[in-house]
This record gives sequence, C-alpha cells and structure tokens, in this order.
Amino acid sequence: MPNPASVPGGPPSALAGFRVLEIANMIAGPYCGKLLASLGAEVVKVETPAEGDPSRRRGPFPEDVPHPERSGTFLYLNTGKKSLTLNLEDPQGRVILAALMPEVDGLVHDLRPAQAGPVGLDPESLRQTNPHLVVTALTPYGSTGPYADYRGYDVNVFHAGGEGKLLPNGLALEYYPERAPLVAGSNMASYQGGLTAAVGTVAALYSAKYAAKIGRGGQYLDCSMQQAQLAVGYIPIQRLESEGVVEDRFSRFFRIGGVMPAQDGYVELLTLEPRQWQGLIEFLGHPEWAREEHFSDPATYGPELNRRLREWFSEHPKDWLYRQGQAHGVPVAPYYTPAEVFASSQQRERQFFRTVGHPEAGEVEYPGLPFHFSETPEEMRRAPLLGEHNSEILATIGYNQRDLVDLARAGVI
Amino acid sequence: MPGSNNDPDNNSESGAGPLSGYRVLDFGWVLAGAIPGMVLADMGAQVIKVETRRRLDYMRLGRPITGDQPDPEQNPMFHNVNRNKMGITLNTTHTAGVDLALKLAACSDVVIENFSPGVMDRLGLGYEQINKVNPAVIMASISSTGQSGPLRDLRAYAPSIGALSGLDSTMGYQGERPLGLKHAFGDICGALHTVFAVVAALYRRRQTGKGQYIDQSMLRATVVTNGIGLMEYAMTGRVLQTRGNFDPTMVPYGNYPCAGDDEWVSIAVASEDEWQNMIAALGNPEWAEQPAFSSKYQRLKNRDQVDSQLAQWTRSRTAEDVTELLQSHGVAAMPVMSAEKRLFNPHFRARGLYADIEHPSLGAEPIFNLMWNLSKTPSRIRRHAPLLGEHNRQVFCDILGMPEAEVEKLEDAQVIW
Repeated sequence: MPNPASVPGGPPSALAGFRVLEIANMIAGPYCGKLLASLGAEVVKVETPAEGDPSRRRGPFPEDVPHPERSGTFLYLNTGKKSLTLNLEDPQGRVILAALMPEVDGLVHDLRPAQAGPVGLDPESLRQTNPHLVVTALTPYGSTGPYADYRGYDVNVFHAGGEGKLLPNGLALEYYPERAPLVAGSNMASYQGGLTAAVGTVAALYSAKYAAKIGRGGQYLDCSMQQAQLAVGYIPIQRLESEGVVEDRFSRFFRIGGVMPAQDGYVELLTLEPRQWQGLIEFLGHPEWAREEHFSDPATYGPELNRRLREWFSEHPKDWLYRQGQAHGVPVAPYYTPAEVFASSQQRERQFFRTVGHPEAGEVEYPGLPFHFSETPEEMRRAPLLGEHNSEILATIGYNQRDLVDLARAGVI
Repeated sequence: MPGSNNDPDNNSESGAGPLSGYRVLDFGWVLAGAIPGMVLADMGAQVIKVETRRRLDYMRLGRPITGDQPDPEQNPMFHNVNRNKMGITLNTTHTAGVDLALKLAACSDVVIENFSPGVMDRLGLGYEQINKVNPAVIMASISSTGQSGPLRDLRAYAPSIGALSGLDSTMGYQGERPLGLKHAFGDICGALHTVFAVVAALYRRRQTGKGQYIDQSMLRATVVTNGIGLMEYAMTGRVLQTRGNFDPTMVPYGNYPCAGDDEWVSIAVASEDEWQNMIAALGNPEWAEQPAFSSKYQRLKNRDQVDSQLAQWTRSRTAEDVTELLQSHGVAAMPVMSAEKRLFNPHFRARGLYADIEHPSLGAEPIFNLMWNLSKTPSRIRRHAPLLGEHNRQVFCDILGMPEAEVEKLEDAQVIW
C-alpha cells in the first residue's frame, strides 16, 4: 500500500499539531521523542548550552573524527526534532522553561524525582503552570518506591527486568557454562523504556483532548524502564509462580535448535511444530539419526540431535541453509551483521533505509521508521544542530534577537 | 463519529482509561498479536478477542498445570496477554462466520490481526473489505517482515527476527561467536510500536473522520531499535561484532560476580563524579591510585584492569549489599535478578508491578500489571482473560442484536465455533 509522501499541501502526519518538550539524554527519552516526531509532533529538545546531549560525544563519527554535530547516536535518536539550549541551573533558564510550559501539550523528561524538583519539574509545580500538560517521567525504576532515586543504566535495568540471569541461553550453555550473564548489545532496555513511554504519552495526549470527561486534561505518566523491560520477559516469573519451574540460563534452552554454525557464519534454527520437523528431516535428506519420533522426544534425543545438526549445518553456507530451509518450511534465519542488514533485499525493497542530509554530517543512510501508514506520512527529517531553534522558539515567548545575545552572554542559552 | 462510537462521555463500564468507549476487534494471537489488544484493553478499550476451536491460539496450548490433560484454560501467559479482553469463537472458514466478523468490524474502531500476510484477504477480511463496511476503521496488521516484499512469506519466530535484524550478531562474549538473544523481543517490540501507531491514527481520525491501514513489521521494529549499530556501519563502514557487556562511554560497565551461587551485580559508571563516588564507596583502595585508573581516558583504555579489580571487591559481597552501598554513593548498581528476586523485590511490589487476578481455572495468579502509572486515567486490570467463547452471547446477542436461537443454531453449525 503506498504511503503518502510528506509534501506541502499533502495530508498532515498523524500527530501534527502536538507540541512536546523533551528534556532527556542519550537513548531512552530521546527514542520516545523520536517516535512522536516521526508522526509529525513538534518536538523541542532542551539541551544544556555548549555541551548538549552527551550522545553528541558518543559517536560513531565519520572518519573517526569526533564532532558534536556528527555523532551517529545523536543524529539517529533525534531525527525530526528542534533544539533549544537552556541552562536549567540558571534562574533565568528556569524562568524561560516555565514560560514555555503553557505553550506545549506534553513534556517528556528523564529526571529522577531528586533531579526534577530543583529545576521546577516536579508534578505539582508543572500542574500549576499548565493543568493541561501531559508529563511523562521516564526513569530507570519509576518515580515512586524505594528505588525512585536509584541510578540505572542499560545494563542495570536490563538485568532487573525480564532477562536477568537468562542470557546467554539456548545452546550457548554448552559452550559457556560459568561466565557472567550477558546484556543485549543494543541498549535494549533503553529503547524498550522509550517505546513504552511513547505509547503511554500518545495515549495521554489523546486522552487530554478526547477522553471521557474524567480523563480529559493533563496528567502525569510515571514510566519505569525496568517495568517496561519486565513486560518483555515476564514468562520466567509466570512459570515460577504458576508451575514452580525455575528458568535461568542453565535451564532454559531450545532442546532442539538454537544457534547453528554454518560454513561461513551462523544461522538460527527453531522448529516447534510437527510439520516443521517433517520439513527439516526432508531438508536433511532423511538421515538415519533424524526421525520424527526423535524430534517429539527432545528430552531423550535433543543433545544427540543437536550435535548431528550442528555437524550437518556447519558443512553448508548460511544463505543456502536459509533459502533451502525456508523452501522446506523450516524456520531458518541467518545471523546478519549490520552490513548484511543494510544489504538485505527485504529492507531495500520496502524502502526502509532513508538518506538524510545534515549540514555537518553530510548524507547518511539511516534506518527508517518501524511502521507504515496508508494515509498519513511518516517523517524522517534530520536532527537539529545544537541550539538551532533558539531564536524561533524564544520568539514565541517574547524574546527578541538582542535578548538572545544577552541570554547567550549570561550562559542561559 | 463512525464506528462503535460510543460517545466516550457516556461510557460507564470501563471507567476513565484513555481509550474508554472504543471497541477493538482483535484477531491477534500468540504473543505479537495479543499484546496490542492487551495494551488497548488496559487503556480502557472494549477488546473482543476472536478465536476459533478449529485452530486454538498457540498461547492456549501447553502442559496442564492442574490435572494431566491438556486444557486450553491453563496457560498462564495467555492469562497475562489477554486480560481485560472479551472472547468469542468464530469460524471464518464459513461464509457465515466471515459475515459476522464483518458485522463486528462495522461497529469497531480498531481491527488488529497478525496472520501470515494474505490470509485476511483470502478470508474476505482484508483491509479493503473491512474498509468497505467501515471507512473509519483503523486496521493494523503485524507480521514478521511486512505485507509486501520478497520476504513476506518468511517462516519466522522471534529468534529468527533477532537473527535477521542484526541484533543477535552482536550478542555474545567479546570477539567470540554470536549467541543470540532467543526471546520474544521481536514480538513485543513490534506489538508496542503497533499500539503507538494505532493511537496516533485514532488521533488523526478525530480530525478527518477517516481510518487507515497500518502495516507493522516486526523485523523493522527490531532493526529500528538496533539503530546505532547500523549507523556505525553507515558512517564508518565498521561492522559491530560480539562485545559482551560493553558500552563505549562507560567503564566499569557489566556484571560482576558476588558471594553465593551464580550471583552477580551489574555496575555502570559514566561520569568522573560517579567514578570518584564509587572509589569512595570502596574505601579508597590503593589500586585506584595507579596511573591506569587516573582518568576516564585511562580507564577506557584499561577496561579489563578495572573489571578485574572491581570483581575482586564484589566477589566476597552479596549483590544486595553492593547495590545498597553503591547506590547510597550515587553509583548505578543493581543485582542481576532471578525470576524469584524479581517477583518478591520490595520496590517492584511497592510499585504494583504485579496484579493478583482470580482465574476460573487456575485460581489466584499474579500477572504483570500495566506498563506505566497514569495519574488521572489509572486503568486497571478489570477481568481475567476470557475463557474460550466466554462472551459469545454477550457479543452476538447484545452487540449485534442476534436472537439467542440463531446463536445456538450457528454454534451447532460450527460457525460460532
């Protein structure tokens, strides 16, 4: 289904008309803002003067030359936003922030309660400034409870969420019995937190305008990265509570399948249904060691089957295994590196990657957006330069260009 | 408003949830398909889960917990991801079943499905057909790789998506073979992006009166949340490899062994202040004065030495003691938690992470609660997951206005089935 291009005069994006302030760094909060911006909300990112979001220093950088306007982490997570520099430790900075609050529909921040209060972003002060405001606080462990002011980064939250003690699992344990639990290498807990916050925020923004009367108006959304991560991995808790089964990385694995070495890489094999076993047996060429009754009794035959499967898979190239396996109805998938993801035909065909120009970083192919709407455009505009929109935004609350010079001199912007 | 529509102000049943007053026809199944309806129901929408006895939701299958016979009412995860929904049975291989589905779609605001691409079209329930009976409907299809393109018929589970997305290739100990993630991340990631898109589309519908179709690919969603690795390749040509517990900007960063059997604590330090606080918490040990630890630059260069010094210190302490001490000094630490620790953790309890529900088949069960706390529209877990066909009468008689005798006849004919 064609997706309407974002063109002047075309249909507006789904969230066009919402204005949201973002006071958040690195990955979790900015991903929430990126999603809102991708559907047309006006997202103004508040950054500290001079330094900005620390993700501006994280890289990757073109040619490995560090530059605050060329960091891949920042450019990717802040597409479509505006940037306003504001020193919240300065009294005038806080005056400006308070003046902006009545102008926006939402605020997304990642400040723990102990950080939010001193800069006037506690729920009570915000409610007084703008009773219609939707406030999303995205913190490691949520804004209430004994850990409300605990610090947490991705690795901490990840292992307190659904996957603590579970990784690496699968066949991995046969290779690595006594090593530290692993975190997912992609900042998964941060993205999961940002995504969950985005879902809650869009619902609260919607509710603010259209909910039943009792729900209308602003409200406070208390979002915990840990809690979001728990929803990803609730199954082990459920199994413990309902069945008394302890799942950890020693006990949880696919009895048949998992990571299979191929001649030139790895593939993932997982068969859960009888018709998939039949397909696999056919794919293997009906060897003596693989019979349907073996697959239906993994407790007895699993280890031997896996040993044979690994041997057989390692003699073939991964793309061949992928194609031929799929042709036999067997869920085989290759382990793609980022480079192979770029090259993969599915993403190319559906025009997933988007070339985005940037005055400092030049043209780069970005991963696009996760969804596809039939009637309203999704937007992929470049990330802002630090403070790029200072004059535009401050003009809306009555500061002229000469005021800006003094604000800059005073270290406010 | 077209659709169910339900003036939200006149709906008293579901309370003050942001989506109270909306109706969702939910063909979603297993995990990726069930979660969007779950979140929408948690937000107060009336969600009608459509199932069929012809082919049970896989999530209903599994080992029995009480008794020794398989029982579709005994899978606890089904109870989690289908709470707050109503449930009907409908056999859409019969034309009469399809007609009933279209009638329900005509009075719904949202339709969710995650069958293989093309299945809904073949059944006569594709977006074009549903749009004809209800132009205001928002329909979302969730699939492994999207509704078009060369991989649209791929056979895949969440681990296959992890492999294809590039996510799993970096999952493993540094420089060693990839180990993969092997959990349902792709399902949940795709499902939550779907909810975001659906609510956004509902907002636009308020302006235009028109619905639309959302094509949600689990692969795309997973790739997007692995974006930095792709940016690294796009900007430098470097291909990320397995790298264990690693963050380019933090040291220490990882899991450190503690006293006890397979006990670990995660510790992450980003700033110079945090480092100084950690060293103070450790009692200013002599090793920290060596040049290898004197600045963040040095520590980034000497990660392994930092890790081994820290591990020596954590090894004789419990994960809880380390956490309390370091957090009291403003350093990010947290035990690596087993399922049991997560279930009984006092903070998680205080935040109400679990809700106790009473299920007719299994009795009292804790299920995971809502994913966030909303101050003004605090949705709640209103009811347990539906028994198979539990709301057939309520939906077909009360909502569609069919006489009870006709429902019985269709049950006998295995249409409502």
